Amino acid sequence: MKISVNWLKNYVDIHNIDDLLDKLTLAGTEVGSVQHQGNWEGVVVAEISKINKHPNADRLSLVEIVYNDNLIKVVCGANNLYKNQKVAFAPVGSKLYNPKSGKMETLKKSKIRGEISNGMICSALELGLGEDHDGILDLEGTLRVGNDLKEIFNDTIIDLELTPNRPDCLGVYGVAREISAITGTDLKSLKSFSINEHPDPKHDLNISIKDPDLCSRYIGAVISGIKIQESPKWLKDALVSIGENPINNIVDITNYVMFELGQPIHAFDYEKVNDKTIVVRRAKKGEKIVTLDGDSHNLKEEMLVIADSKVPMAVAGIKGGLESGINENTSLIVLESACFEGGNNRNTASKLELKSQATLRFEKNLKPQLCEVAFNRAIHLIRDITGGEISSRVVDVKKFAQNDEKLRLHGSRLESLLGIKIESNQVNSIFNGLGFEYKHSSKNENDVWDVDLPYWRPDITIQEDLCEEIARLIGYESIPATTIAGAIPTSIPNIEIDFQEHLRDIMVSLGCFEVINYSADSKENIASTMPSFNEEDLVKIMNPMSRDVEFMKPTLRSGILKSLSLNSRNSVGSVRLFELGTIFTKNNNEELPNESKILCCGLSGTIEKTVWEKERPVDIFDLKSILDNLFSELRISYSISPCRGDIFSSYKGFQILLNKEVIGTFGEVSDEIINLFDINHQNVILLDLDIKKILSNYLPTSQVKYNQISRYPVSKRDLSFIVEDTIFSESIIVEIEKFDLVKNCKIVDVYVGKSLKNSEKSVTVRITYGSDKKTLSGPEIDQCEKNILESLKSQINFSLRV
Amino acid sequence: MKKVFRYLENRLLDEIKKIQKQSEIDLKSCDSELKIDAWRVKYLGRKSRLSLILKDIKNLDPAMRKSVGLSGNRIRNKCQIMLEKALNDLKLEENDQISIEDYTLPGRFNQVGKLHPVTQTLREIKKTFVSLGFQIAEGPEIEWDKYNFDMLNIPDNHPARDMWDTMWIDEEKNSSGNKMLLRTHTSPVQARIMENQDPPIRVIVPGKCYRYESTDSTHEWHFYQVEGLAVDRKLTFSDLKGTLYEFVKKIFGSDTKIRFRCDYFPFVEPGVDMSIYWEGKWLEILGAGMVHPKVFEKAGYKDPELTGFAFGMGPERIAMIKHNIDDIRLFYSNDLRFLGQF
Repeated sequence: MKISVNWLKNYVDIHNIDDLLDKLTLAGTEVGSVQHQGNWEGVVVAEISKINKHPNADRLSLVEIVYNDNLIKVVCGANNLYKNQKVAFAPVGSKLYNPKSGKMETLKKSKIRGEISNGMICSALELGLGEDHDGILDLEGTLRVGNDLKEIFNDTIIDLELTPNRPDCLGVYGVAREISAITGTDLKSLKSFSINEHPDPKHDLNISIKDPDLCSRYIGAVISGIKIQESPKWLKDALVSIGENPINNIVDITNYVMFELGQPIHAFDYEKVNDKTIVVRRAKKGEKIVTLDGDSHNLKEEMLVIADSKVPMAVAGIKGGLESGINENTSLIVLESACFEGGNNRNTASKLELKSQATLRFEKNLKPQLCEVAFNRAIHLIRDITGGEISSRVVDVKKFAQNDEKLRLHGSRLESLLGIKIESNQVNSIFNGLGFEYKHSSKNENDVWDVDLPYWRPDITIQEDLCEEIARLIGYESIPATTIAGAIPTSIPNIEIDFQEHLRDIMVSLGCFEVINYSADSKENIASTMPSFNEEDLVKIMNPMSRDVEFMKPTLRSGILKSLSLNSRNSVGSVRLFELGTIFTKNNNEELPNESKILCCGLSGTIEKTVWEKERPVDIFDLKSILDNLFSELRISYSISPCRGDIFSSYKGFQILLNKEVIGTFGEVSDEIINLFDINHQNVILLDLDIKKILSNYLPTSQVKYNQISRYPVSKRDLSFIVEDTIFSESIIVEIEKFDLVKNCKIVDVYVGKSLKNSEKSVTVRITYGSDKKTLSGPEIDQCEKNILESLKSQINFSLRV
Repeated sequence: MKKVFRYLENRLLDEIKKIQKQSEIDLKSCDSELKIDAWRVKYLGRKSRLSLILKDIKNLDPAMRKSVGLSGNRIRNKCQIMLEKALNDLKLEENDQISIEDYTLPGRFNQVGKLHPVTQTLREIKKTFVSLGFQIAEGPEIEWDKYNFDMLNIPDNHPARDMWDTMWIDEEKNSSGNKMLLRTHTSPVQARIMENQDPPIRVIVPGKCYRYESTDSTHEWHFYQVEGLAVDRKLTFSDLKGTLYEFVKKIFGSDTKIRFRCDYFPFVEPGVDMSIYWEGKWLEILGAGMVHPKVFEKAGYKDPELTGFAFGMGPERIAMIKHNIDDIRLFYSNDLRFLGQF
């Protein structure tokens, strides 16, 4: 909300503005930006005496400027010039603020397309008076030529970033009250009409509230003798200073009161009110209204309207109707000041897409007492400015409990909430500064304040709200910082979170970079990376940021593929990425969707040539090394089995099994997918692991029991098996490792070549023999080796290579 | 006799020298693994002349043993090294101009990855709060509006809802009238914890959040948040201040200037906005406050002496300030040129 400091000064004295703005921010009313007018030197009011075309440029003019007996020629590019126009002129030697450099710069004589320019006619933007840069600033015709522009523009405009709990600061007077509370400066009272002055009722006016749940008060009166015309300068200046367009005296007064007090008010043309009756009611089925902006709206039955005896005249507290609005011929008006329920008002405005200044205030649940204050202020201004007079009863329909609302603050609560004792006289002076009425009492050293709820502060409803008022006005900085006392809560073990972090560490140690992708993707990307996924199980976002992120992902694959794609285009060589994130699938039975954690890893590209190694493409065995290390670290043994289809090339996709349960997949991604994701690498290997299934088989280090280290030496022997090349090497290992004396068995070489048949391969394994009880003798090992070979014979066809 | 021994000694030493010379010459012509292996057998094999000489040492006069043994073993070791080098050189055929004795060469390829900067920042934050007795909890990213808003004192049609532009899930309301949404903050977990657990509570909740917000250099629709909650008797605003000051000092350094100012969030009263003074400017880093009594009421907490505080912060923002990152979108573009820097 924009606030003019000149306007503010009508209600409260302001001395050191920068200091004040800091204090406002600290106390909760954040100052977003400050615009000081008059950030220039030597700029004067001048008059245009002659406009000629620039001989060398169509868009430029040669302008002759007159002020203080000077006749000056300048080049100007604006298109809103006219003879005798009053303009803001910056002569050579004057200083202007350059927002780009942040400095004051002295204007120099210049030559523009061959013509000398002895200064500049300024736009609003160049003077820091607004955003308008389309044309030069068109000054009021009555201004005196030769005057320093500073005498005319000397305001400071502050832009407040208000929180939704403070509708009082949506009025300049409310901000003044806040300043008064912060600085201790007196708040000046407003000139106002007193509702007790009973006028002579010449005109009839009936008002009824049919839906008191949505309207707690409605004050209305007829005002006659009005002449619709331009507002006086001070009123127009006030509105212009905060960016509002002046319209006519009555509209301007209603706007002024809204921006002053935060209470929207409205004026109807009395002649157009059927049967001189105003009914506040919900709209009837099928009712329509054309609002002041000329738009037609279909009203719904839950929407509140201000109607006459026949038709709606306004959408209550949102926008007036065109039909009942005032125009230049109006001489009798009905002035409305009412209180509408916030939630309904907000809902209606959003459904009709009519976010008005009125809604901005009413949606915050203004108090019914405020409409009386605003009504009286408006009547005062109307009488003062237009000469109009009340010519009906002042009808005031009240549908709210009128007992005094009081709030009790206990000193003990104040202390226990803030952590410091605040002296009662300090509390008193804060309440005084805020303008709160209260009664302070003290019994057995227990202070109690009974505070009348201030009508301008609907946010204050519980004693903690009062505690905040006190805390923010003594200043948060004056409250000490302490350490939490009391017992540390019982610890809840968090195996899952710890496990995830452990996995991340392992993946990083295995050379993978962590990525984090969006949780949503397009249906197409999901379908192509999860061919088996049932579309009906997708979780759809109703209002996604775009079609590309419309569905919550049931897989992390598409994200990893996108990240590989980006990096394949940016970096040479190979890329190793992983992501540990959440996947989503729809749940039936009115439950939230299933969320589970997945580890996804992707490799692509070419391992570059180094001093030590030759260049080679990334392959499945790079991924297997990650997988082997990962599971070894987790103390889990896994096996694999080929899987068909999915996103992998034929014969290059595998399932990962743990106790016969599938816990993930890996493989070489098919060219089709590589092309689809526009990955600039030939080889893409992908791994997908269901973390929860691993977690249940995982033995954390904290639970590991020590195994005695054998004191006896081990022996290593190699065996080379010639087998059919369809035999998986792993099947040999599994058999060999079944023997007690075998500590472990590793494949050290696989050979295919000349000395073998086409369909054969040679697998060399290195067996480590050992016992925890003694040193094995040669014959014992020989015997074991014999047993191994015999046992293998029954499983696999092989011959030994000697 | 001595002369004979001396002669034999010299002859053996000469022979060893010759073996050394010859081995060097022979090795130069070994250009394949096979030839190198043959060379190995010739000079290092069990039946090689060198092995035989060394084996025979025990039969020599004790006076000779030392010199012959020393020299023989020296040559044997040298051959061993030459063999390894030859095998290596063979592997590095293409690089035969590079000398293996150049220890400024890079080590063999073995890459270590990196954690995402958000993960790193989250860990730092978690570590700090864990040291202050907080525990870590998580909750669902898709939530009911009840937990995301109502339980936190943000009723339907309340203007405060404008503070959180929401993305909704395309599902009908459930039978209790609740709607599904992408959580706009991790605060709903706070409501869930209070619903299921009695005080005292000290917990932080890291996790992803979502807002319907156009993306630019300071806004993402998809981001992380860490929410914190402490509930107990006698917890005060001072404690909130002390806890958060401790946090800032651990994350940004112990001489960081900190500012508390009044702010509004519907689930706290009084409300706080905390800023730090960083490179000449006050930068907001988190929102906080004392838990609003309505939030306790909705959680079913009835003890009138109960107080609590809550806070929420964005790890991206903290990382941006610390590392001088000027565009939040970098976090989720996953460019290794960015990720590799942290």
